Amino acid sequence: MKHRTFFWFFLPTGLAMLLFIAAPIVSVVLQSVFAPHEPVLITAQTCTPFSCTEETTIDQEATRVLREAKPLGRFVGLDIYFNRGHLATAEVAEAWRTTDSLTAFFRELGDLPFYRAMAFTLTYTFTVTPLLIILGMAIALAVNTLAQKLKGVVIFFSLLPMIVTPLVGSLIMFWMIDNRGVLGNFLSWLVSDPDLSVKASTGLMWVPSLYTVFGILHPSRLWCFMRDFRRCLRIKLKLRKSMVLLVGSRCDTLLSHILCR
Amino acid sequence: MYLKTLSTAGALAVLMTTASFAGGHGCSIEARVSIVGNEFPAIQSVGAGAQECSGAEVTTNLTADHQQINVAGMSGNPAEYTSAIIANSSIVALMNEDVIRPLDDLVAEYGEGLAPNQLVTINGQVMAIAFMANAQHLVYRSDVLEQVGLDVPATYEEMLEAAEAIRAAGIMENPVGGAYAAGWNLAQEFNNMFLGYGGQFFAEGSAEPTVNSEAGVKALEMMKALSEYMNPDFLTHDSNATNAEYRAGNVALMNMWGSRAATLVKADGVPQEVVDGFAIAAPMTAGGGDIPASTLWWDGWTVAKNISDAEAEATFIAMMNGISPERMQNEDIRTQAVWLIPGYEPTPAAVGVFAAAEMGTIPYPMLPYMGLMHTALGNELADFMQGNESAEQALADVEAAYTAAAREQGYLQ
Repeated sequence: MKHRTFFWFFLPTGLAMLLFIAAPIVSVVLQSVFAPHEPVLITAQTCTPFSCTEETTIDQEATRVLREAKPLGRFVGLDIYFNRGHLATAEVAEAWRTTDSLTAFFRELGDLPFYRAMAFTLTYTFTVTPLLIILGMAIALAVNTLAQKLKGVVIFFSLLPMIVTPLVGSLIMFWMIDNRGVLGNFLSWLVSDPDLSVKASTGLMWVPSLYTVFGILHPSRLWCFMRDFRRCLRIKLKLRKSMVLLVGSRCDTLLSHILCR
Repeated sequence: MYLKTLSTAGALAVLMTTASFAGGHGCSIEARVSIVGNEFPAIQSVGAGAQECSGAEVTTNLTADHQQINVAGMSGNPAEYTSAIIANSSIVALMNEDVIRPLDDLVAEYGEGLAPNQLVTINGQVMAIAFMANAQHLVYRSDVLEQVGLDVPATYEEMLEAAEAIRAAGIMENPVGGAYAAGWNLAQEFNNMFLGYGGQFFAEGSAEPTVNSEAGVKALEMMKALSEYMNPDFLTHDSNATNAEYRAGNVALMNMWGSRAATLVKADGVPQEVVDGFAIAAPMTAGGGDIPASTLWWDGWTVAKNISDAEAEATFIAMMNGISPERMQNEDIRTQAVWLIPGYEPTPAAVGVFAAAEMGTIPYPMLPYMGLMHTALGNELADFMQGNESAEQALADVEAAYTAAAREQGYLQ
């Protein structure tokens, strides 16, 4: 294609990307090195329905003057990145210095909000995603090996819940695992512990969240597998396409041997 | 044909004028009004009253998450919301961002009939019009207390005794209710308890935090003791969930908002014994002090700054209609809150809030940096309540989180 043709073809997308992706990123990075101005505080009389007191409040005029003089705020460099609410470099260094074992160090890190969130994200990524792919595929394959008569019923119970909106699904799950909900009550009865609270235990919460997420993702891949499983040839083609995405081209021959027997 | 069109147009015109007279109760406005606020019944009534005005569109967005959207919604120019219904805690956020306007001229022009204590003035300017008072106080089941033969608890220590007696008698497994949901609610319960133990949030005249003190540790320990008698999921129960537990007959003692207590047993499907046993009392003290472990609140409405003067005028007129003294004739509306509106006669449901005011309950502090402290408390106290941290450690975390946020905002150096 001629360069000129490509240029005109790409121009609308390019402009949209500049406007909606590049410009906001630049703006955010620029704003991240500025903090709000220090407000000018005064003690003034504040009258509420109950009493009149001398309270500290912000001097709006003086602060507005400050803000108009320097609209971006005051320059703080990378302070916001390194403060306690974000990377917390000082706190991490202190924790490293004062703790004598790795477990104690990680417990100290758990006090910091960023590392707490990071731990959750990493656990989610490395536990939930592989399990989802494996479980999803396992269920789809299992359903397909069933007799024709059973298939419908099993699909109804195992795969149809996928159409439930994630928001509604998670809300229902939240109510079910409540101490007085169906699942919560059943679990407490099972372990004979009336004070069992799934919601209060981070570890236990992974199970229902896994179940909810599993019900939502990968519908396209599952349906894709299911519909053409009978015809091995068509499976090989579809598998090849998805396998390329999942595991690369070397394994698809092996998998099609296993599946198509 | 022409005559037909003309007569139809004439008929329509007549209909519209009569409609505006009939529906507006004499309230007509000329510019749009858009209200954001909390969703409890009293505010719903005020919103409905504002919507009675005709001549322009009046929309309301009443949600429990109003504090997360009101500042952003009023920061644009022109602002999305022309009025925010706030309380002493949420007005500070709006003042800090300078998104509300002084109401002195509007009060002079349209505000006759307002009682002087309804005008919330900050630094000499009227910034909000208050219409109700609120506080958290004891809500209990009188029949259950009778069954165990105990008096109404006046202190939190007595409340623990009553809870133990109720559990021992086998009436209820988790008799205590509390809005201890991690986040805003948990922080608010800590604020109440902390003030009851005589604590001070900040050093005199500065933004330095002083919550990691004896009062703070005692407050946390009392909250932990109370949580032993609560539903194990208490860290996810806000006011609505706690009220649901009370209505279901699972809770006999709770520290609940007056604004919610009034209509608590009027919902559908509440068992008769709960309706009969429902009772209200004054807020409790703690640790032998005389100041109640509670906070006093006022709720009011403000007018946005980043809107045209016509919209500001329309907003003021509509909101004045929402809190007009005629609405006090309605029995249902009267029970919904302790109204500050002239013509309000206290109902039995108002006992708790009046008692709170008489006992000298401290009003929630209206300091510019109190919101940061509230957020820090909400984020860090859940660890202690779950038993993962000691009280001192949790309060140290709160102070560290607050200090970082205050430095970012410029209140501390």
